[in-house]
Amino acid sequence: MGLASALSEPGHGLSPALVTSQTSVLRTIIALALAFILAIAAAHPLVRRVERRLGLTVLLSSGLPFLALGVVFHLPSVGILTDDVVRDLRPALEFGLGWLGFVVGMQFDVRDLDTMPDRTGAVVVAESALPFAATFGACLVALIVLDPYFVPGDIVAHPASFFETELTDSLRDALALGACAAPAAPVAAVAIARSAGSAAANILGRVTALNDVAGVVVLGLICAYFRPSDALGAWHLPHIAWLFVTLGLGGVLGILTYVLVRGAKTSAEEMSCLLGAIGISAGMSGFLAISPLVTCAIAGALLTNLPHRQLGRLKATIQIVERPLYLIFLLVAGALWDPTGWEGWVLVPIFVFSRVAGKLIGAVVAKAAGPEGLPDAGTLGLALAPQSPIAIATIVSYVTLYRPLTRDTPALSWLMTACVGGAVLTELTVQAIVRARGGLRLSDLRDVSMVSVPPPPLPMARMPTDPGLGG
Amino acid sequence: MIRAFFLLTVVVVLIAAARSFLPEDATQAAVGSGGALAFGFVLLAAMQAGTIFGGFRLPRLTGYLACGFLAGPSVFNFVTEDMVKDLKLVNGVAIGIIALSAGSELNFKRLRGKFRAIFAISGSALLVAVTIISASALAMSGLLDFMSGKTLLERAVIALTMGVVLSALSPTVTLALISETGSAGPISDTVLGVVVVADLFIVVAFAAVNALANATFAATAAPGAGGGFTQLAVHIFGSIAVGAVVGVILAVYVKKVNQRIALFVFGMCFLCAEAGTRLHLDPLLMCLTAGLFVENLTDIEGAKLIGDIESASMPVFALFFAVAGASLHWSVLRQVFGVAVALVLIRATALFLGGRVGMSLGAVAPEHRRFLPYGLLSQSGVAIGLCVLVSKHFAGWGEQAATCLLGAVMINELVGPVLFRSALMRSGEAGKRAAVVRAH
Repeated sequence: MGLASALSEPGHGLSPALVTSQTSVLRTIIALALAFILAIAAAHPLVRRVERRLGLTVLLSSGLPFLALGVVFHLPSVGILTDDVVRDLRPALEFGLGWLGFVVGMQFDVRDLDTMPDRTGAVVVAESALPFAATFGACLVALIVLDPYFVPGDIVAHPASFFETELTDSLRDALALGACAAPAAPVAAVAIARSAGSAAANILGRVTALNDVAGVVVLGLICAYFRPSDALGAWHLPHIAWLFVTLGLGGVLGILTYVLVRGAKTSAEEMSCLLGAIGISAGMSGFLAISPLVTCAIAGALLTNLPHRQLGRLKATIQIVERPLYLIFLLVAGALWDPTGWEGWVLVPIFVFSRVAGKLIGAVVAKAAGPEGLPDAGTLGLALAPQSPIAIATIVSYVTLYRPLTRDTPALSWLMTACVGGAVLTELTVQAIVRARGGLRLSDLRDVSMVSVPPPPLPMARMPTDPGLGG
Repeated sequence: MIRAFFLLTVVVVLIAAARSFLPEDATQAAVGSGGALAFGFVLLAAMQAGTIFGGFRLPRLTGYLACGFLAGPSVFNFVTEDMVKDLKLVNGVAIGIIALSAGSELNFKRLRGKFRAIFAISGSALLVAVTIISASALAMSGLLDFMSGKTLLERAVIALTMGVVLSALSPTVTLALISETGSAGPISDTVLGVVVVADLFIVVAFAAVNALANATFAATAAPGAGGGFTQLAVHIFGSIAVGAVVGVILAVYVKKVNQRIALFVFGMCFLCAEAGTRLHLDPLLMCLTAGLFVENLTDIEGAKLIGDIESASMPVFALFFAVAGASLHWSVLRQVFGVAVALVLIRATALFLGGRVGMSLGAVAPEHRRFLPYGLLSQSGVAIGLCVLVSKHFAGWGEQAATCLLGAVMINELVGPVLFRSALMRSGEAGKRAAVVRAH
């Protein structure tokens, strides 16, 4: 019994069968509510201080327990986040992805780009494109080989069938892993690069923000060129048209959000408008089978680049809710994830090795072509190696889009394993190497959002006056 | 207001475009119910409709209701039945937040002088309303299909059930309107106290009538429809006890953590609403007790708590009333319109009469007597919940009686807030809240 259908029926006049299902629903409700309250507690500033001190990402500091909890809740013997419940939670998942999309998009401030040192673009390109390409290539080969439908002789015997069906899915999955390879964690990047001076840390903080955007762009291209629901939808458009639909939708939703929040008279009204705007953006994207992460990132980017007196307050409002929302998101991601497939664990070292190799090669290129003041290539590569939390959001968005409508393949679950396992393995390895090389200097770090660098300091008049929903 | 019209048009165009992409039969398979889309659309459209209605000096919440009604399955079907079902998840949270806010508003020290009036008005209004509505329903039994062929005793019991359901008031609408108009003063305080106390009386009265109806219609009552007084006592005192525990948790959180209070309250209200219902506790009573506990037994100011959760309560209110509007079925209202209008008029007369008697007994100041009864006319969540119970519990006549009752509740839901808002404006209490909070 799904959550929504169960919750819509008050518990009166129950048969014994219904009593059993009511008990399981009650268990689900209590577990979800407790997880929600736990997420709020885990978003306490104290946890953030520990993260900054240790240079850890949110995944390692407080995210793993939520992810593990999601996996445990999904076990048939526990039966809290069953398949039905997860399906019923899809609107909440879409909303969470939309919110994270806004966070990513709002990092793309053109005014901020203007203040970057010359040739920073080379660092961004090298540290996005090379990890993407390396991961895409290595994972494509691995996915083809691991595909249970793959017969090596088919490439020669039935090349057309191989390229049209089997390769298409593997290609799409490898692109998704490539999209997850580009983003780097700002907390770790800033922490590690601090040893090379605050200017280097500042540059890397901005680079990580743009790496996130690169990952989202790739996801947008995947959604446009590999349509998940063309068979069901009433619109039959060419792929390039879907790209325009994505851009147009993001643009319209960005302008709508701007007009809404600009007209808000109180912070409560602003929060209501923001919730509604993110809801409609994420919901429309879900309806059109476009990733909410992509359209909301476009809308967020537009919002942040239009003139708005209360932009600082708006960013603060969005970031305040971001942490607990992300932790709940990880809980649902855990429920979507089946870590039992060995193929996924085979992909983990391939993903990590190719991604880190891409980052290290990118660091060499960036050091040669980038601005002055960057740390040495080794430190640069290590600083940008830990995976951004947005990578997990990207893979979850991808899996939820393609899972219901593609052929029954376990490959989507492998991708989750590769991305989540890869994030943990990378971070543990990088932490060990960095500490062996002399540790971190973190004494004067500012608080940073888990996926973004902090906005520039605001004059007092523009600072938030009301803590908002999460305040 | 032009901005609101423009924004409303844009969101309507957006949802129409989205809905055109997936045919209704393909929606469930592809994207589930589309709950996120419905959430965003209903929230934004309701807020704009509220602004437009506010511009015409009508209550915002009537705008929310009207918007939900028009967008819902009855009229344009932008929001389908499945979407409405998903959005109803917010109902429990809304009722919890509203009850918590109501409890936090009720400071016993401040209300000490008004207790007599509150109990006199609620007791007298309910007694008179139940009597007159029941008698009228019995008198109209010839017009009501579901009463035909019944004995006098059976008709009397059905009429009494209808009388109790239609006597329910609405703490939800009252608090929402007081909050929307920024009202503060003796009328607002007294009306809020009256509707909260009356709600408790109604819960007890419905349990008693339910037991009576079960005894009378033993053969047709649905299994499990009973509910003795022991169960009722557990329901009421259990809710109060659990509510006190929730109050303690809330107070500790506010004092020790003091971070993301709105989000925390949202989670607690969800837990109270959903878990409470399944444990046969009353979420409204639980959250009301929690609010009363925080306001009266801790040094946390209720006004501060309400301010802290305002950013969560505003969207929740808008959604709650819009979803209530989307749940109104035009087909139902059309079917029973004549009888429903008659019942609405009888109810209003009875409440005015009972209210007047109560105000005399409670020694309410003469200048407040003109406005106070208007606060008793609205109906919403509690009454709808009782209609659903009537429909579920009594096979044979319950469904038809509930249809008739729902028709009347719908009219009260739409008209009551307009009249109460007007009374608050005319009484001069509207807009005084900011001054009172500052003075506090």
